[in-house]
Amino acid sequence: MPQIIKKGRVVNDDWHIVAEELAILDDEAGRSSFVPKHGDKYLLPAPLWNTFFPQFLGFSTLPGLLLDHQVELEDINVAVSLVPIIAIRFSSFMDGTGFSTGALLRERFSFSGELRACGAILPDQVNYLMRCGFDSVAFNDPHSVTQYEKIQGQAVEQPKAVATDELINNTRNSPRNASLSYQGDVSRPKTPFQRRFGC
Amino acid sequence: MYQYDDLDREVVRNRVIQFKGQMDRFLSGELSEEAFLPLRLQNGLYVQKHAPMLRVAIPYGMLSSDQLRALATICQEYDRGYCHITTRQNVQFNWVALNEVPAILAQLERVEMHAIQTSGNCIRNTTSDPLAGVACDEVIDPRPYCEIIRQWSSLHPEFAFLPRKFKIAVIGAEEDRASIRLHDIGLKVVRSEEGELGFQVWTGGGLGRTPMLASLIRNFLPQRYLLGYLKAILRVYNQYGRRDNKYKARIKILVSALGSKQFTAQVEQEFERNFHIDPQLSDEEIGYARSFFSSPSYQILSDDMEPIDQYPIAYQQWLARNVRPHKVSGYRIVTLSLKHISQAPGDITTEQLRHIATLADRYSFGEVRTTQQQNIVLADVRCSDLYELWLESEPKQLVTPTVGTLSDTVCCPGGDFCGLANARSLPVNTAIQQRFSDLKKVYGLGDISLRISGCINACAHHHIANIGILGIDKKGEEFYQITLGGKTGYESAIGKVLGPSLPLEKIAPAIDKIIQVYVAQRVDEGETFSSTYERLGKGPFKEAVYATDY
Repeated sequence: MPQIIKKGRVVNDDWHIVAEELAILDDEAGRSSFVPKHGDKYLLPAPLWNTFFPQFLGFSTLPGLLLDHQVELEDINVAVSLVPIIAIRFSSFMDGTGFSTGALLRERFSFSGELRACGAILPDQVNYLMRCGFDSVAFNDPHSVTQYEKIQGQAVEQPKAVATDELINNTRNSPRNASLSYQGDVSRPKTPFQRRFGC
Repeated sequence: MYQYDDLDREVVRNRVIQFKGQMDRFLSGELSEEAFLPLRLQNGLYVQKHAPMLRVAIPYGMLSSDQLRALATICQEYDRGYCHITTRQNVQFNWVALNEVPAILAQLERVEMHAIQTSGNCIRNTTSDPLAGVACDEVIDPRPYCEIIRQWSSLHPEFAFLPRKFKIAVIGAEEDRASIRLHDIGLKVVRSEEGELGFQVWTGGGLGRTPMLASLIRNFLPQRYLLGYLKAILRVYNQYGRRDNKYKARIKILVSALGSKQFTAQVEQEFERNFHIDPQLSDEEIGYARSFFSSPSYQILSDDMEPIDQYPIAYQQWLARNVRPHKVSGYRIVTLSLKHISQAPGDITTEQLRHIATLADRYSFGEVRTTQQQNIVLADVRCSDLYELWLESEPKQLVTPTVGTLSDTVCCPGGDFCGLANARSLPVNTAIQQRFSDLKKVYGLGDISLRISGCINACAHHHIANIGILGIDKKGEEFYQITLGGKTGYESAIGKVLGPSLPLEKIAPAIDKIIQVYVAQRVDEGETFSSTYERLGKGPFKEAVYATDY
C-alpha cells in the first residue's frame, strides 16, 4: 500500500487512481473494463467521473475526483459538491497552478472533504500546500516520503551539529514553529500586522 | 526604518535553518540539482560563470548603518572585498562559495536581513522611490505599504511557484523614480476626491525580450483592499499565465493576450468573489506600519546656503549634480556616486561600505538608501554639513559629480560575471566613458540616461534609457544593439532600436556620433536629449551612425 503524507504524518493510503486509458477500454460487448468493487476507494479523473458515478450509487464510499492542476473548477462544481476527496495532480514541481486550484476549492467552493496534492511535488513544498488548504500529499517519488520525514524530524529533534560553520551551530538548528507566517493560511487568513501591536 | 519583531525574526530564522537543510541535502546528493534549483533561487542563489552569486534583499532600498557594516563584513570574509548594487535596489555578492551561503544568511539574519525571494519565479523584493519620505513632490510616503507588501509576499504559500518572476513597485510622489510602469504591478499612492488614501494600480509592465509598459487597471483602490487586490491579480496570473514558454510567461504577455480590459474584468471578478473572505487592512494596522517611517527629529534650520564660490570647483559641481532639495528646510538629499571611473558602475567595496556607514551615522540619522541608478542616497543631510561630508567622501571615491549625466551609467555585471549574459557590458561602458572624460562636455549634455545590459534579460533596464545598449550574441561574437528614446520619471517610454547591431569597438564611436547629432540639432542648451529625439525621430541619429562607416 503506498504511503502518503496526511496532516503532517506518514500514513498508508488506499485510494486507487483509475487511469483514464484503463477505464475507457471497452470490451466487445461494450462494457468498460472498469468495474468498481464494493469497499474499494477510487479516484476518477474528471472526464470519467460523470460516466461512472451512477455505478457507485449504493456504495458506502463515493469515488473521489482526480483533477488536472489547470482544471476549470466552474465546469465541475456539481461533482465538487458531492465527492469525499479531490486529488489535484501536479505535472511538475515548478508549476504552481495547483496551489491556487486548491485554495480556490476551499475558498470559493467551500470544499470540506479531503484535498490531496499528488504527482511531481517536492517534500519542501508540503508546508505551502497545507497552508493552501491541502490535507494530504502523494509524491511520485517514493524517496520523497523519507525526505519529508527527515525535514519534519529536523523540526522536532534537537539539533545535530553537522555544519562546518560555528555561527549556525550556535543557533537553533530546527525551525521552532515552521507554521509561523505573515499570511496565515486558507482557513485562517490574516493581514501581516494583525495581532502584532497593542491597539 | 522598519524594525523586526519576534514574528519577523522567527520567519527569517526558520528560512535560514530550512535553507541550510536544503543545502546539506543538495551537497550530500539527496536533493537533485533540478529540485534544488527553485529552492536555491528562492533564496537568491544563482550558479554563475565563475562562482555562485548571492542576491540579498534590501527592502525598498532602505539600509541602516549596522546593515551596511554587516554587508562589509560579508564582502571581506566571504567575497572579494566588494559587492554590487542592482537596479532593483538589492545587493549582489559575486564570488561567494556555495557551502558558505548558509553562514552568510545567518550573518544577515543578525542584522534583520535576508535573501528570501530575490530570484526565482516568485514575488520579488518590492522596490520604491529612493527619495521616499524626503522628496518635495511626495503626496504620501510609500514605504509603509512596501513593508506590508514585503511581509505579505514573503513565503506566501500560493505564489511561490508562479509562471515567472513577479515584481512590484510602489511610489507616492508625482515623479516616478521607481519606474512603476515597468513592473508586473506598479502602485501609486493617491488620494481620492474625498481625501481617502488608496492606489492607482498598474499591471503588465516589464522589460526583457518583449518590453511593455503596464496598463492602468484600477484608478482608485481604497488602501484597505490592497492585499485582496494583489491576491486577485496574482491568482489570475498563477492560473492563466503561460508556462509552456519562458519568454511568454510574464504577466505582461497575459495582459496583452487578453487585452487589459478583459484581464481587468477577470481580476475584478476574482477580487469581488473573495471580498468577504480576505482580511482587510485596518487603519490601525496601516498606522502602525507608518509609525516606523515617521520623520527623524529634524532641527529647525534656515534653508539659506553660504555663498559657494569660496569652495573648490569640484565641490560646487558636486552640489549642482549630486545634491537635491529636501522637503524640510535646512536639509538636502545627497547622492553618493558609485560611478567612479576606477570601479564598475554600482560596485561598492568593503571600505566604502564601512565609510558610508560612518557617514550615515554622522550626517544622516544612521540610514541610507540604495537607488535604481546604482548609487547610494543619504537622505537627511544638514546644509551646514555638506562641505564636511564632501571632504570626507572624496578620498573614498564617492563624490563623482555626475548624477543624472551620461557618466551616471547603469550597467549590469554582464558577461564578465553573469552566466546569463551574451556579451560584456563593462568594457562598453569603459570605452564610452573614455570618450566623455571631460566633465565640461558631460555637463554640456544635461540630463541624459545611459544604460547597458549584457543580455535580453535587461537587468540594466536599457529599454527605458535615453540611450540604451543591449549585448547580443552573434555566432559567438559580442554585438550590441542601440536603442534610443526610452524614458522614465514623469513619463515612461520604451526605446526604439536604432539599427543593426554593432561590434564592441564601434559602439563608443556610435554613441559619440549620436551625441554629436543631439548637440548640433538641439534648439538650445535647455532642450534635453530626450526632447530632441522626440522632435527629430531616429532618422538623423541613424544616418549619423550608419551612413559612412557601417
